[in-house]
Amino acid sequence: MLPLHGLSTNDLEKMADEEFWNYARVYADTVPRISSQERNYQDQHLECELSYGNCLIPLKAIVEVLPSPRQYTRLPLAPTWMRGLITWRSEAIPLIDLDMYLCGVSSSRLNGMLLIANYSDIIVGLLVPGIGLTTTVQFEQVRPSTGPTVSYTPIRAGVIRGVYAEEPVLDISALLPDVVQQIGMAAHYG
Amino acid sequence: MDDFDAQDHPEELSKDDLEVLRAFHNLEFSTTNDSFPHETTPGASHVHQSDTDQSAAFLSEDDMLALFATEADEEIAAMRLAVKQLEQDNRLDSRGLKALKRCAHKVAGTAAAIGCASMSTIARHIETIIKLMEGESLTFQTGLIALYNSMQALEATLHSLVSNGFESKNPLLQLEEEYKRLNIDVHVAKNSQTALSEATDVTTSEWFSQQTGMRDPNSTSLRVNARHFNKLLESAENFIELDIPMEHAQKQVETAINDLQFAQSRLHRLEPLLSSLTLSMNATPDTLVEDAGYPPSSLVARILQEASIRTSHVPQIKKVARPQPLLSYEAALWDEMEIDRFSETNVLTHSLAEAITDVALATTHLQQALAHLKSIVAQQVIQASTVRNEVFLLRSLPFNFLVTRLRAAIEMIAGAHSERIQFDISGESVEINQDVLEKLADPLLELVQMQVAEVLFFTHRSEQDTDRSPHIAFNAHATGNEITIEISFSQSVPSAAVALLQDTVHQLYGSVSLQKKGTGKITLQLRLPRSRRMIQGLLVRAGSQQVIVSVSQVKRIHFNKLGMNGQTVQDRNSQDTLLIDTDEIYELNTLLGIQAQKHVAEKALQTALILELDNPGTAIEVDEVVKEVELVMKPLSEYLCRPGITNTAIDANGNVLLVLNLPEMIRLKEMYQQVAKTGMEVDTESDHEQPMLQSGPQACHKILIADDSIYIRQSLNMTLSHEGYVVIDAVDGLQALDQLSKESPDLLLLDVEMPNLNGYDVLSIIRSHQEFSTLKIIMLTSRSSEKHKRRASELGANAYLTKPCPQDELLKTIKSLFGDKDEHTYEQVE
Repeated sequence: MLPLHGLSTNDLEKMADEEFWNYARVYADTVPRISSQERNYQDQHLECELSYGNCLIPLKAIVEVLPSPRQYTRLPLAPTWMRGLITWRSEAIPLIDLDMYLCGVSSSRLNGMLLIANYSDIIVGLLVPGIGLTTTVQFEQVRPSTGPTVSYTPIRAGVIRGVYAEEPVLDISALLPDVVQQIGMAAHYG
Repeated sequence: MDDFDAQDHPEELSKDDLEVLRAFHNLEFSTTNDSFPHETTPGASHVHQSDTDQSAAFLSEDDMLALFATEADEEIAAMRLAVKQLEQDNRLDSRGLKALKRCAHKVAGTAAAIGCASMSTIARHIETIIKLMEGESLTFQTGLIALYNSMQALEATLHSLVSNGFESKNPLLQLEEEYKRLNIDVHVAKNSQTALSEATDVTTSEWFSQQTGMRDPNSTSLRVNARHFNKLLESAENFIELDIPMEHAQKQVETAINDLQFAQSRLHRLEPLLSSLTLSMNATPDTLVEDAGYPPSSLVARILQEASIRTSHVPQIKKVARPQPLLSYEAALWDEMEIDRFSETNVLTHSLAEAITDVALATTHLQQALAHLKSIVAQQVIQASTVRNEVFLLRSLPFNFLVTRLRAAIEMIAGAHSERIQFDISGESVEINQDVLEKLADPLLELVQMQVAEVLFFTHRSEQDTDRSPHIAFNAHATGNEITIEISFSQSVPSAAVALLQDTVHQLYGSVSLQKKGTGKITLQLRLPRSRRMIQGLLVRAGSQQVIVSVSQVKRIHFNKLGMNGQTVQDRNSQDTLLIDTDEIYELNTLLGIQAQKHVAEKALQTALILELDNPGTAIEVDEVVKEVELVMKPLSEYLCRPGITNTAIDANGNVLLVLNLPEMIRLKEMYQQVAKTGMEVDTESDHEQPMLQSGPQACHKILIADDSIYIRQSLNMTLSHEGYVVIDAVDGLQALDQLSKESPDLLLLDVEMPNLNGYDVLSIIRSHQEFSTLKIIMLTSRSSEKHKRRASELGANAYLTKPCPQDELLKTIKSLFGDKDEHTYEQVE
């Protein structure tokens, strides 16, 4: 069979009606398959190890995964969970200790992994003790978070989208703006 | 027609103005079915009593817009007639031209005041075209065409405003295209005009934008300094030309590396032969050789021998007779054929020597090639740096650009009061980045305006002094990436203006120092980086972190034990003596929140940066001054900014370096501490009742309204008069000061944006004079941002209200300030 997208107008004109509609049907069948792949990517999450359990971060929000930085620059009047500033693509971005931010404990070492997360042009570096595999989250199976677990403190409940396979799924669209707001507020209130 | 307004503003109100006012009054009183007041209080032309009830409130935005539209429509009609008359008269001294000029000026001003930027711009273009026609830079006929086009654009814009409630920018854009077609450059024309006529019409920022073409959202082009642009082009070409030598140098390095690799491989090939030779020599080679029957110098034999060793098999080769080698001493004594005889060792040694020579030669070639490449890279770095600097200088302007504006402002104010102020300038050709110049424009203008106002209104000069006119001098010079501007005054300088200037200069990573000379002359010295993007700074260590401090903010470095450049003990001792004067010592670590502050008595000061502040004794203790650097600054995202930290730089290792604005850090730290302290005091005081000072608002309080908008003045006038206050008004800052000294009002309603001295200037001047200490001041402005409120608070305003302000809120605020204890709901300045 000819590749569907490789057919010229001339090829299509030469086709018999039946042949044409067969091609059309086959071509139409491929569309849901692409959407499925797309949806699959949308649902893919990266498992991140925290001190008291794992959490899932949507893969689409992660721009890059890097080894943890050797050095960072401390910023005055920053929240305890903001380690400092690092350079990423010639820009200074905040380095967030995700363990500290979510659980209130710090792995207190710089030997984990650095996830560069982006949401709505907010770019931050998320420092995690380790990363695991990617998982496709079945959102129909995500149950609402009924309360804080060992993985996060009550104050961070707003950045948890729900729980999937006993692991909290982070809502990056809530987490990153919260990080920005907290860092900004810390400048005024310490 | 009554003479109400004509008496108030005989110099500024035309027949048209009065018509507008009449419309205003009709609108204002329409809700109460009251009529336009035909009588005024005898003997007090500024005082208005009215029976209108409290529903006579402020005009809404829509009302204001309607009024403006009515007025603008009439002005445009008048302008049309004027252009027609001009066309009929066919000469420049036509009355029509004068009328047109007056109307255009008025529309430009009122449109700008109400926020109609396009209409204001078109009207200003009309003014420019008139000036071009008068200066014969534009032919009469072309000018007429341009004026007709301008009128059409003005009408179309007004039409869009009335129809849609907002201005369409299209007429202006089309008009500017038409100007281009007619070969009229209104911007260039504006640049060539003296700034005198514009000195009091627009704010310095607006003026700056107009002059430089910056901030014009319609503009897709950028104005750059042509000389620097040419230099940049040249440098960029030189930079590109370095590509060829760079490629050549890279090829040389590659060739040298190949040669070296080849020589090394040759050396490697010799290695097993040498090893086997050494082995054979150590393992009684004669036996082996003799047993095998090979000639010892034969490489073939050697190969066979090695193979036999590996396979433990000695091939049986027929033994051939060979000459016995000569004993060495015999060979030395006699050589029949006089030829060299080479043993295998000789050959190998020779080959080894050759291979080593080859390696040495290739190494030398590689070193040379690398040195050449390094020099090309260095040239590229220098050239890149040149290009970068020239890019920053691209948008530079001569200092004179700003001084023209300052001179015009001084002459305008002084001339209005028949005074003369001597103005000198040197270093006017020193080029400063436009961004820097723009930031400096407002505070410098305010400084000179306040200085002139101080001289004119508040300095009591003897007759002898009167003969000597006050003197202001500007001097600019550049050293490397730093600009120094010296401003000298023959008399004392208002501290508020200096503070304002200082704030701005600190934001630019610069410093201001004040020098007072015996003659009473005051000199302000401003040290600034030439560009806002580059920082020439000191790389300073605080704990394990390195930060950057602008060189322009550091007066000197104090070294006690270890420091930069190997200071001698003598140097350090002499600097220790200098540090005795230091009464404020901050630890950089503490400012950065890195560690807890040590007790002052416990610490041994090692290295300190002595800052260039108004307080000469401010030192910042640091752990180490590493070196001087020049880096490109990058602004931090807003949420990452901290007091005194708004920029970063990135070093060669990719580390983020915080660029510290130490004076700002100290100022804000002190301010926050003060605010925290004041907050506590206010909390305590709020428990006590305020004593009632007066029985009511109608106790003949006199209120001065300072606002350049006639609508606002009239509206406030009526409202306050109705409440029983005595009202006087002023159209600008200077007139407000004049009224203050003559009328001694109890309260001042002060607008911010006014011609001649703005509201902040007036506020600063008032608060620096004891005689006005009891004057209550309410800022009434359209500026609603926190920074404006903070500025007003810092300068001593009692309250801050934003336009449009509900009538009851205004009255509550006034009553509260006059001591009515029930009224505390106004927006008090924090």
